[in-house]
Amino acid sequence: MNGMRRYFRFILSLVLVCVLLVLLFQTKSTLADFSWRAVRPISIAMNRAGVKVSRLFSAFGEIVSLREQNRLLTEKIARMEVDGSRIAELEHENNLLQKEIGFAGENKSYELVPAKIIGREPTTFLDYIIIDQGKDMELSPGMAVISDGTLVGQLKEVYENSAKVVLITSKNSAIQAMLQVNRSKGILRGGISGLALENISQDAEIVSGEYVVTSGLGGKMEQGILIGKTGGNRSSSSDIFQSVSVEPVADLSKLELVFVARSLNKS
Amino acid sequence: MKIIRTFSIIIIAFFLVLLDVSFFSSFEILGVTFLSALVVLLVFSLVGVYREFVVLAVALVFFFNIFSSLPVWLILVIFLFIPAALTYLRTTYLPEISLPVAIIFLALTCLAFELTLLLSAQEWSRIGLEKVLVFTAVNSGIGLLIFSGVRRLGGNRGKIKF
Repeated sequence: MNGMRRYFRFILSLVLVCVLLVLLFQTKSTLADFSWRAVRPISIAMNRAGVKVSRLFSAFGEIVSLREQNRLLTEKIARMEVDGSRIAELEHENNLLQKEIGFAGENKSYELVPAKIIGREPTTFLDYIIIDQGKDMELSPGMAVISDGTLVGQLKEVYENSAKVVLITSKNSAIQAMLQVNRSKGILRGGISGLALENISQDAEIVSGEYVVTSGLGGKMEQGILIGKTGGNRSSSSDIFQSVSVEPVADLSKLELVFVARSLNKS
Repeated sequence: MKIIRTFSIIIIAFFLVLLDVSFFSSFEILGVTFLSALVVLLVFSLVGVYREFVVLAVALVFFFNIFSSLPVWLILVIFLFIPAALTYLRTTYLPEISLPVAIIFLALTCLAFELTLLLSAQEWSRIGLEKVLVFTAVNSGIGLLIFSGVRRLGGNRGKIKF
């Protein structure tokens, strides 16, 4: 009798576990969206606290190099201010020339939707973040996610009130990008070994420290969003394509607020 | 009483997962994150509360499935099968809990956990292996501290033996 009861209980537990697993498979995105919405205030606060703790510990480690960094950055700002004014002049000249030859003025085709980070992937080897905006703000997969003017990721899945962003450092990330100066196009891939711009043609001349921006190919992401700077060449002369490492400009470990580039074209 | 205990474990699982996805994932220790859910699960096993261990493992699988991007089968493997298998082996071959046993159990489970993630992510490289070792060291180290604290709080019942 006891044996029968135990057997029956075992079968019942097995059936319950199978039902639970099927339910988990079927309702994961709905459950995820509802759960993130429910815990949003707590998770935002915890995320902020975690970033502050991270900054505190990293500050102790960086004290020695801070003064030198400060000096270099002050010089860089001064140079950039000069460049900034030159760029403004060039923009103005460009607009005048476009008007002269009858081009329509280039209107911005996207707007920035601010979004708070409410969670991150806790395990190593996967780089995802969850933001607190979703379909309710007309977001869709493939849109660029920006922080401090630089690309940090791409929308992967969009729920009703939240969305999953795959960071550019993730192995699952593949972004159409190009070298800003010589305009050679490639694919930017992430991974544990770092960012790399791959599939660059062999005749392209790659200079270390050149800016890498989005190329706009594929249609989902705007052209010209800054990603990072080139580092060392990763390929050999016998490879069909060149590959170069890329240093991201944004510090992806300390993100708190990001912006989604939402297209203004309703089609 | 059993129902209240089970419900409390489920609440603990929820908060552990929330801590991991919101707080601990925001900062890294030596380039890896601390996974409080895994460490607490392993401490449950070391302390010997096996029923609560199973309930916690199942609850963690449920909540990680909601809050994490990992596939369900992988979450089942790393949070249920691996800890359960190593708990079974430990209770069979090393039933007496001591400091070396705790260290070996924590290190092996964390190593198996992270190696499984490394293989599923196909990031097999020197850097990937380094991350696995650092993860093992950080999480099993913190786990050992928590376990020692729990045993000390337990008084004579739970003195660690060499």
